[in-house]
Amino acid sequence: MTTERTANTIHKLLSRILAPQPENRPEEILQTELLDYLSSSEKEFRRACQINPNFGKSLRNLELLQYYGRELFSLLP
Amino acid sequence: MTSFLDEDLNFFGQALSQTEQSPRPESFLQKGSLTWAGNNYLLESDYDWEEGQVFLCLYRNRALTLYLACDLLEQEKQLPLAEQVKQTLSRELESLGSAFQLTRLTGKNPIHLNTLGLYFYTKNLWPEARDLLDRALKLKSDYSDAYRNLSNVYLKMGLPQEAVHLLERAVNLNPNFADLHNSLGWVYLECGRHPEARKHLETATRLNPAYQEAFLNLCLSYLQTSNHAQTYQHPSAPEESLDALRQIATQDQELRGILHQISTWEDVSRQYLILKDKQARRDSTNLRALCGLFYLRFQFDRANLKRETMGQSITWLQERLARGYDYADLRNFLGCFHIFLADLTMRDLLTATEGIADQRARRLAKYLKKLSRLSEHACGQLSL
Repeated sequence: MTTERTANTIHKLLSRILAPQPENRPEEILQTELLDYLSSSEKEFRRACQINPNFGKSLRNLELLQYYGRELFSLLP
Repeated sequence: MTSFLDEDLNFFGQALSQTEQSPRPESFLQKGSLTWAGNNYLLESDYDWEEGQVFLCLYRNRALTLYLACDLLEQEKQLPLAEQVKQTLSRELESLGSAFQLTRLTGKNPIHLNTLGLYFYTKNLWPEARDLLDRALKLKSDYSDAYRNLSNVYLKMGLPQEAVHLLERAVNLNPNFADLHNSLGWVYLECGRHPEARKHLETATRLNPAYQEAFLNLCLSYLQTSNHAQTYQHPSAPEESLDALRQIATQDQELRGILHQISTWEDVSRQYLILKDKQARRDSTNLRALCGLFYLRFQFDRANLKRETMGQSITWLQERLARGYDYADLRNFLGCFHIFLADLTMRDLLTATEGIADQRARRLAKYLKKLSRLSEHACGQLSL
């Protein structure tokens, strides 16, 4: 997944975001892209908590991620 | 392939066609160097035809400090050999250079100093590691991780007595840290001071009854002091070493299954070596050191960190996790790296958008600026 992501250069990504699309605004396309990164992150933090249920760092990071996700939605114009 | 001249042309007694069949291995040698604090660091990379992999040598002031067989990304292994060598050198030089830069940028945070110290330790740059870890401990005297790392540095430098002094001080300051007792026990073992070693290893196992490494060290101590030179051909193992194995077996199903067959000194020694090998294979010090360096590069030197480099570090870590290094702290690093990659993507998108005059692009740039502020806040709060 990440290999595909980074292989997509920024200009390709920007072209995709700014391509005229009747259903989605550029901000929404970008938001979907970012949520994809955050969901990969969440998967790893959850796995860390599974491996070690007392691993406080990942528990805190999961909480932070939830806040980040909520704020991301609230910023959408 | 032969030619009509083969019979006439000889090279050191061999026909030319024979010498052509075993050509000298091609060299792809690449070199790069940097200077820091009056020291010169030279890196050399090439392809080792016998081992079948790319290797890297690091020299400090012309003295070889590290020979490393490089573990490339799966996708890099498909590249031509010359390119593999080039990428390896470029990556290692970049990491080393940024580690030196970070020694200035990270300030007086003991955790960051410890992270950098560990990185230099894994590169066999022990004086550099010692200075950073020493500074970390001056700032945080109850920092068990830094004590352990610094004592390992002293052992590598051939200064076991320094390691003993350091850990004795650490244990006095933090008498309830099992890790420190185990480290001190291990250093005493290295010095052949078995009674003191056992005292601390037993304390470590009392503080943490599931501490396999401490039980393994105890096992070694009893094996080493067992006097059987002039007794039977297959002397019995010391009972205490068997006790240590029994404790390890409570968490090791494989060992539990064969425990009843283990009775002689040779049996226990063999089992010790197997377990020690298992332990070494589980060791993730190098991975943690490199993850720590990436974390610091993002937090303190983000302007010089390319999005592609962050992406590669994620792929690299994913590949190691898939090989069995599935530990909570490494998963936590990976989770953070995905967020860092999102941040660097926003940064690069913003730069690219700012050059476009289009109305939609300007609106997107405005949105990206807001997102970047949010991202900066979130990245700063992540726990590692």
